[in-house]
Formats: sequence, structure tokens, C-alpha cells
Amino acid sequence: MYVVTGRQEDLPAGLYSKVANYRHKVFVERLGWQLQTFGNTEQDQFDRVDTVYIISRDAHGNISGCGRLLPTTQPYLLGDIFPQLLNGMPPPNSPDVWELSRFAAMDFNAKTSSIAAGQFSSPITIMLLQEAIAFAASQGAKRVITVSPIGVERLLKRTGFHAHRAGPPMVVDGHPIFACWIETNI
Amino acid sequence: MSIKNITGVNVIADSLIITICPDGYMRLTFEEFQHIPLVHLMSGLDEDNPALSQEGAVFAEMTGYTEWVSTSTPTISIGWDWTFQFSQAGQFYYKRSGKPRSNLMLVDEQQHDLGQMKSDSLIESVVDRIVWQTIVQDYISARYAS
Repeated sequence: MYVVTGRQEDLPAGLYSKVANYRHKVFVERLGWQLQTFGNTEQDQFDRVDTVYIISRDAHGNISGCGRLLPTTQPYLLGDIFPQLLNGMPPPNSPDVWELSRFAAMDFNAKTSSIAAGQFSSPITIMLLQEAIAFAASQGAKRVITVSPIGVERLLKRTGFHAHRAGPPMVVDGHPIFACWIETNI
Repeated sequence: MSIKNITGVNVIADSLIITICPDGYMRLTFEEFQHIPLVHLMSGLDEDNPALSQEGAVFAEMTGYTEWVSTSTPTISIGWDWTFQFSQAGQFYYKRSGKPRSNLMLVDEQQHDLGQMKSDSLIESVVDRIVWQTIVQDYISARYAS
């Protein structure tokens, strides 16, 4: 298993479209989120040239997890779509804060029943989170904010990340989501 | 970061000014926190519990979460996990599992952070004084009845 990090133009040829297809499988087909789709791919207005992708792949090149990072100095998911998750705080707009979204670690090719573990297979999750946070830190971020299913908070706590919720969760399309701060000084 | 503290007045503990700090935490002393009523927001079953989705699994344990909030704005948010277990006597009961998760950082009288571990332990002691089991049971029963 290894991780590829970069903007669309930095990724190996064809990998971005595989990521969009993987996201469709996870978020639309498995989790039932009502998202914008194009055929068997899922992408939205936050998939831009400056968006950074973190992608885990197995030895055969199959994608086993992904996430995307956006600087909060540009439009981002929480700021534009879910600012109410910030408990009254204005959405951050600072080079100190990056956003992590569309985070998933579901290995469809694992021989074990890791898919049954849901959206987050722990070893992949930890590796992806570490890579995402390290990348954000390398760009000057002191903290990462994420919009996620509430199960992510449990996982972050269990795996030793310095994280805490920004406010109460809310239900979107039947699924509780929340905003969570993650410190980059791991 | 160019975010100023956001303040609000707790209408129940009406002398208390609650503040969100730029790091997203709400900071209170333990004494202040203990006087803030918490109300149930939502509860649910874990959507990703492997034990419930594996073929042939014995339905021996159900797990879920519950979320509670203050009635003030900005809102204190506390959630914790639970398991629904059968005792040897054949009774079922809800039991909290793991530490509560929140947007609270408790501070001492000098407004110094108590730290995450100490803060979580004190929040845990307040959570355990809440009679949440019946409320969660009723909510879960209603939500998943159909």
C-alpha cells in the first residue's frame, strides 16, 4: 500500500478519473449520499486545479482510500455549503487552515471483510490522515478542518490525533455529519 | 487567523457568558459547566458496525451514539458511544463506551486549559450523572421502528 499526493496535473495519467469513480462507489453507491455525478464518477465544484488529492493504492494500483485538501483562502465545502456546522463561527479564511473533505478508506479489493468495516478501514485511514495532515502542514497549515460523518471523530480520538468537534452534528440526507478540527502538530 | 471570539448568553444560567475561542473550543470552568443543562439532540445506531453486517453474526450487541447539546448559543456539543447489552440475568441495558467527545475545553480559575485528558474525564463525570438511557432507548425505538 502506498499513498500518492498531488493536484490533478501532478497525478499519474488516468488516476484522477479513477478517484472520481472510487468516490462514486463509496459515497453514492455504498453510502447513498446525494451528490452530483457524471456517469460513474462523483465530483463537484471543489474539484479544481488547486485541489490536492491524497490517494492510497494497493500493490496492483487499486484505490483503497482518498481525500481532498483545499486551502480555506479559496472556496471550500464547509465554508460554502455547511457553514452552520461551525456553531456560529465564521468559516475560516486563513493560510493556517486547510480543509479535508471527501475522505474515505474503503478497500473494495481486500481479501478480508474490510468493506464491512464501513467507510473507514483503520490502517488505510490512519495512513491517509497522516499524509493529509503532513501535506497541509507542509503548506503552512496549523490546523485542518473537516466535514465528515460523526464516526470520524471516534476514529480520530482512538488513533491519537489531536482533534475536537467544532459544534453539534446535523443530519444531511439521513446521515449525521459534523465539522472537526484536527491539529497538524501530530 | 482573523476570527474573534464569539460570545453568547446562556439563557438558563443567565449570568454566564459562553465564548467560542478561535480554535473552536468553548472554554468553561468545571463549576460553570456543571450548571449548564444538556438536552438530547439525536441518537443512532452505528451505521458501520461490522458485527451487524457479517453474515451469520449473532445479534448479541448493538452499538450506537448519542448527541447532547446545551440550549444556549453558541452550543456546547457532547456525544458519546453506547452499547446495548444483555446481562446474564436476561435484562438489557445501555452502557456508555469510551470517553465523551465535545467542543469543550475546561479551564481552571485562572482560565488555563486543564488539558484534553483532564477535561474529558470531568465531562465524563457530568455525562454519567445524566439519566440518558431511557431517552436514548425511546428515541432509538421510534427512529428504527419502521
